[in-house]
Amino acid sequence: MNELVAALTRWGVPLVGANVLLEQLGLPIPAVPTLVLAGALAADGKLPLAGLLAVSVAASLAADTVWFLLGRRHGHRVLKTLCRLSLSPDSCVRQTESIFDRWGLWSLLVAKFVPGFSTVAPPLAGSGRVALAPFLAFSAVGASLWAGASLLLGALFHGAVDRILDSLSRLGSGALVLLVGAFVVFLAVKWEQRRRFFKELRMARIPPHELRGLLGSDAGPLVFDVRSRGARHRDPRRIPGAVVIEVERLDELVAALPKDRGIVLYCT
Amino acid sequence: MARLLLDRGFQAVRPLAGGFDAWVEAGFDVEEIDLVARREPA
Repeated sequence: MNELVAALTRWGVPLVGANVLLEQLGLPIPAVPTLVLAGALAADGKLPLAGLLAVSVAASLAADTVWFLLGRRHGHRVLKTLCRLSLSPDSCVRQTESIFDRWGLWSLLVAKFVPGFSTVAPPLAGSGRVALAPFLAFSAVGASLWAGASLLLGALFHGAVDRILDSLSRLGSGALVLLVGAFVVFLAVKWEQRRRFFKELRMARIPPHELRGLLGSDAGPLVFDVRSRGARHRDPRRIPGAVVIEVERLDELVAALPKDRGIVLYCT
Repeated sequence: MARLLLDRGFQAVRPLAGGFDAWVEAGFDVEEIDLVARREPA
């Protein structure tokens, strides 16, 4: 473990940059623990705080720019692909679109603090009519707030972080096994949640041709258009007879419906 | 949204496979939404 701290002290800045870049590109490698640790080491004078902040913001901006340009080029399909890969697909596209619809570029200031939103927001901005320069400006401020807060947290609690590192050092190489084990368990739990969610979806989903066959019949389901406001403006069409519905008005709209009424809903 | 409806006791809730894009790609009918009547600012 001492070797790990020594390596972090020696390669801390590029390691933090690589971790932030990979996380912001969408890989499930959390950067906040690394930033907190780096912040603690910076408070001990072992790493340059300004360098850590600069490399974190640069890495975050690089990843955001890649996703922004992919969103601009491929539009909404990038979002669908991202959410299919996401470890939290159930809270992905629609939730992100709703946040972005409501707050616009300002949402980028807090995007990094919201799980799932940070990777999806840049392609969403790119697929809309947002210009690159203001996008980069807001992204840079958002990345500074996020990385700065994590580094500051580590610096403020560097005593506690140092004690944890000391304890891990006493465990020797077992500490590395412990950390890797915790990471593997984290990935396994998220993966299992994802697998169950998709299994549930596969069981319940109705294919378009089956819905078309049911529309107009007495036993036909109610169809709800639950796309975000932004998605409706991009394509202001709907399935014939579909009811456009906002999550805020859900209870009001479904209050009078019998519980066994068939309902089909669709996003983009 | 499907989960919210299930939580409210609706038993027959099904998301459309592939979403609206799949419906359009299949070439099925669509109709215009009157966004002005819905008072939805762009």
